[in-house]
Amino acid sequence: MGPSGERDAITRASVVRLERAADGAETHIRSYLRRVDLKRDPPDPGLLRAADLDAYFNGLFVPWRRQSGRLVIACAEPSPAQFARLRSEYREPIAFAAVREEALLRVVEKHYRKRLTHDAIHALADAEPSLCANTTVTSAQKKTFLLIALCALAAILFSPRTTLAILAGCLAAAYLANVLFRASLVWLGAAEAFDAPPAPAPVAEEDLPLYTILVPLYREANVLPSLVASLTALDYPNEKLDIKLIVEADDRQTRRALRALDLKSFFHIVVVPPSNPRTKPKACNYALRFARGEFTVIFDAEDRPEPDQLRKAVASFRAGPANVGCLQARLNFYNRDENWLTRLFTLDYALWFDFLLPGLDALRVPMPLGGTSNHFRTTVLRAIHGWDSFNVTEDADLGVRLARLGHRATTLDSTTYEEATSHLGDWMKQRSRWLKGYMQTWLVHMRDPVALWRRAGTRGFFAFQLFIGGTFVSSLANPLMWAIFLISHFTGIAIFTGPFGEALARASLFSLIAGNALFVYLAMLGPYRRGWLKLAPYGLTAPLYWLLISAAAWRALWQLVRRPFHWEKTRHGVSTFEAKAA
Amino acid sequence: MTLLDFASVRVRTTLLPPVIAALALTLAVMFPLLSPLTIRAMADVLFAALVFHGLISAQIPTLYAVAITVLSFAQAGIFLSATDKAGSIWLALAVYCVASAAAAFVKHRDARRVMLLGGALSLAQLLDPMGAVLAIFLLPVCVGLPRPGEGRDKAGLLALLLFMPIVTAAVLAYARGVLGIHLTDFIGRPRAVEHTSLPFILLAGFAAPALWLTVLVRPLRHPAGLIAVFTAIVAIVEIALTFVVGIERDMASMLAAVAAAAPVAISTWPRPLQNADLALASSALSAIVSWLLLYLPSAVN
Repeated sequence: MGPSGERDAITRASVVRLERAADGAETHIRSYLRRVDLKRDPPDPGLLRAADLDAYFNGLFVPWRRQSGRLVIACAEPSPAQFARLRSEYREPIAFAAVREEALLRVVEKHYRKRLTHDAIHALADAEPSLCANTTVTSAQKKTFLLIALCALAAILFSPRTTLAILAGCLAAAYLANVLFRASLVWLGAAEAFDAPPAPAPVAEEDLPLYTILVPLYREANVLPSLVASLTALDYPNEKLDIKLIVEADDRQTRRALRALDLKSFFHIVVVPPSNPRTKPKACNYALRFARGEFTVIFDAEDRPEPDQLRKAVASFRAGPANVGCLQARLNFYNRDENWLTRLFTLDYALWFDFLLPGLDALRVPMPLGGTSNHFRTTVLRAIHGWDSFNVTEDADLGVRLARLGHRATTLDSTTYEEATSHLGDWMKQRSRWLKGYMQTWLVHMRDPVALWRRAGTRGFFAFQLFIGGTFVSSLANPLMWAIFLISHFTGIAIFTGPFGEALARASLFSLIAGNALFVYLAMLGPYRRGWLKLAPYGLTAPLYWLLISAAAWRALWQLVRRPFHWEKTRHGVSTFEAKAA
Repeated sequence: MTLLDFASVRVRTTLLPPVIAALALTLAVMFPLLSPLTIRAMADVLFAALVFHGLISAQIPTLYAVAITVLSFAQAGIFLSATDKAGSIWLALAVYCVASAAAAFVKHRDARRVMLLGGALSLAQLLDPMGAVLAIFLLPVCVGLPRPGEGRDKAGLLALLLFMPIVTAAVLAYARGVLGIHLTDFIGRPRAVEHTSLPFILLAGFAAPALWLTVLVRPLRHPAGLIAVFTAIVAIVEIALTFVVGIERDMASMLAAVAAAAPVAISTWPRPLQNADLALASSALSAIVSWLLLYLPSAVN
């Protein structure tokens, strides 16, 4: 290698010199390396190995070409440590060249696009077919449901009144069990600062790891400026941020808007090739391959995370047990006072994220994650094959799957403010999707109840039934129970007959009244922790909100049969409220 | 040697809440199946466990907590109620639950205490109808002690605190009016064995020196303690009012209500270790005065 070769490819001796260099060695190395334009001079396809795909993305290198008897490896972040690692891996004469990160990622992605797309959709199904929702109801489940239905039908034909009374009694018991479980969760989750353990100590600036932020976007050009502002406002060193803005290939409007923005170097745009199912989890899985952070968080386009959220997450991960695979930050709304629907939605969210999830956390049972602000250890997320592309509440499913595979999800005391859907139509679509996803999640994990019981434990198993199953069952059952009560009350028809008829009737009435009253009370209690007490009286109107939820539940059931994987997109950027964190 | 020398004796207080919860749950669920004697015995144990747990939680030395609990039962009202000779242990339980929940709410305004207070006020209605009146009188005072930033949202807080008692009252009314079920009849009404007069009812407050100390001695004063005193005053006023309108009430009930509020007030005293002797002395004095007050009407007559 001549004098120009010294600049073209770095030698072992110069690496040794550079290893002795002070901080800024990377810049120093770059000045030694030959620069390669991968767009003009793409890598030799024969040198690329599919098995090394993740190594290319994580290490930001790619074998480029063979020149002068040496394998030239193009690196986007060259460092002495990386050189040493690559030399030991390739075990042949190596030279290095410098490339731009974006160009490297693009060229590897282009080469492996089909593989990446397949993995984004099918990685879970390939590895753990029984945990993937690509089949909604298995044949064994169909047979079981059919058997139960036939038995119920036979019982109704044989003794209609007694059977109906028993069914109604079971429904009332399940309803009350669900309410009482939630009340217990609220009690457990209500531990305030003086009852709860203190917040973990913050991590020193230099010890903060690289953090990946995934932001799936679809037709959200209008919220991009505020999204970029929110992410830029995060109190985290820029050089340790790895932000992936994930956009669909055919979403030209958003792509155009992204190009128009003057994005800083830590923003990366990941374009997801068109394929079915067109779901958020698939897009996230696709982008996860490019994630380089020790931790990965997902934010929605309209999210406004509290600026110190990443630092808090790092501190919690560092201070917590090693089996904590995920931290769920609290979610709430910045446009809560927009109208009645947003107020009730706020009560709903406040109860869910401020009380119920911390309650599940305290019980150490599977926690269905919320759709955003889930902070993961990236290795854990990859090890469990990311999100289920076929589940429309991939977040809830992921929480249960984490528990089944021995990891814990816990809560993070930091809030992300979102936009509450303020239009009934949007709300109905969103809620239907959530409830459909809960049905999917329940069906997936109940394919093998014994396995679930073994892996999640007895407490986890019953918590799963009450929290995941109870959510959609109570939504479906609520109008039925009210109908039974009102018909019985106004027509005088005795629904419950037989020797225990009166007792059953009273128990059902108690379940209905106590259950609904407790639900109203919990809704009122929801905003207490945030001091939003002026919202509490709106909790009195919660029964109307539940009617809407019940309508959404029946719609979800219908959709589960007709279009199980259809993702009804929630419009963002609709609110007229000024985006402001409370 | 004083009891303080044995202050290092500790009990496993973590076991108490589940025991109390199990006892209360058994009582609530098995109520129709148990004999009156068993029910009353369980209510007595529950009351003792609650008082003891409240004192222990307030960092009062274990032996003092035991002694004060025992002295509570030596108080005339509680003794007669607990042994079913007069009054009703349910009234004592109701007053204790409301007073301790209200005191806890004043100390820590967190969601758990909101739930506890709402639950206590609802329970009070089931245990003794006077609970409803307590709810109406007590809550405005509780929410009348706002913390910074709470002023604007007082209506929300009030709605939150009143919801459970109001729903309970509505359910009781529905059960009574539509279904013909008198839930309070299961528990039994306070019986008027020892007839009394209005002046003696008003004198009942003297049977709990701990309450007076909480109000008059500045170092012992705490807003939570004042709430306990207020609960006792509400109980006295309510019983006096019902007496005036012609409903016969007995002195034992009166004394039991006052005695139930006293341990709550003691639990709020600052520096529990230093004030333990005073708490013990006031409890002993309470037992003596209560018996004097009980037999004073007979002596006067």
